Amino acid sequence: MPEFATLAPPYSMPAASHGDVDLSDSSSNDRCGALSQFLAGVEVRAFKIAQAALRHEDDALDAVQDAMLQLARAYSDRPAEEWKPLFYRILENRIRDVQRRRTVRNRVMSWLPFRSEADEDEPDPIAEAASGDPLPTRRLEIDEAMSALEKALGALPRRQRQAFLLRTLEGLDVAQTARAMGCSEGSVKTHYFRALQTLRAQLGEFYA
Amino acid sequence: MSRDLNGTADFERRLQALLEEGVQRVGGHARSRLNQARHAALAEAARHGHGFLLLRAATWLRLRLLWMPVAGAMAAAVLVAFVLWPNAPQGYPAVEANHTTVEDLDLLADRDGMDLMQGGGDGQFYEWAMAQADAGARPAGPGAAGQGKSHGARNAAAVTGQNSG
Repeated sequence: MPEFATLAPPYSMPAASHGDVDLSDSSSNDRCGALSQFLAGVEVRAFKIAQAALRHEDDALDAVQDAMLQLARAYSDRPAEEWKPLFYRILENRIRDVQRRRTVRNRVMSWLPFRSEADEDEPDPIAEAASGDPLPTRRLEIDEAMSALEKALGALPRRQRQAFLLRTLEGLDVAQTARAMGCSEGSVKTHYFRALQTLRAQLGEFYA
Repeated sequence: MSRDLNGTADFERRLQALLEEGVQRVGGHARSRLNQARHAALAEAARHGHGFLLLRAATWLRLRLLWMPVAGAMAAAVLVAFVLWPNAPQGYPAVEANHTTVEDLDLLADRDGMDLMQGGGDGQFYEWAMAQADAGARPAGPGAAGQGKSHGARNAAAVTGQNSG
């Protein structure tokens, strides 16, 4: 949240996206173009993955932004085909950092006597409004199924959720998922299968 | 088993479709912030790219500056060791050769030596002295003096006669 608040205004305008940075080198331009394309392709799905883990929009956005910055800062000179596993590995580390901070914060807040539910972040109804506009009945069904899915994903063990979302939502293959998770391909298959079993047991009623 | 696998695949497809629906329904607020984050990351990448070249140049210069005094100190140490090392194995022959050369030059420059070489009276004296030395080296006896009169002895006698005369 604070990181987003400190962003300079030119960064919100694509035409002046590079601001005062002089990209005179053509290879640097190509590199930035490829990186821009990559980030634009993964950012929304990454946000959904982070949101499924953190169940908080601002925290998820912070985690995605940190992962983007870290990738750009440390790995932008790596081959482009390595970016996706690296990015999701960084993102997972950021998610864990946020979860740790949240745990510490909750412990501290639980000791404060004046804490009340009103202190919690209230969701902005305008921001929460969906961009699509399906039929009301259909939308209600989707909302219910999505809510149940998010709840079930949040209840999954971390590695199972990670394997499931990287495979299903991001579409990584087993090898890429293994690189992103830092484990063997066999472990990815195991985590994915167990996640699928758990989700099927919990969400079966929505897909009967 | 086959039905179960088919059911699992169908379940996977439905989950995938639901997740895609969730991606499509991400609000404009979140998309705008993701856009800002992307551009911030691109600016960071560009800054890092330029900074990387500067960093390499600075590192090279820093290493050069670091090694220059070290190399200078090492060269000075080698020079001092070469000059002050008391048991340098190749030192003495060089000095002796120089001595010999100087002594030879002194001998050649000596005026008396030049007179000796030019065959003055002293030369005849030395010839006689050599003959005397040869005669003294032979066993003394009656036959020895008469029979073994060498060329040196004759010359010595001539020298003696000349000297006495």
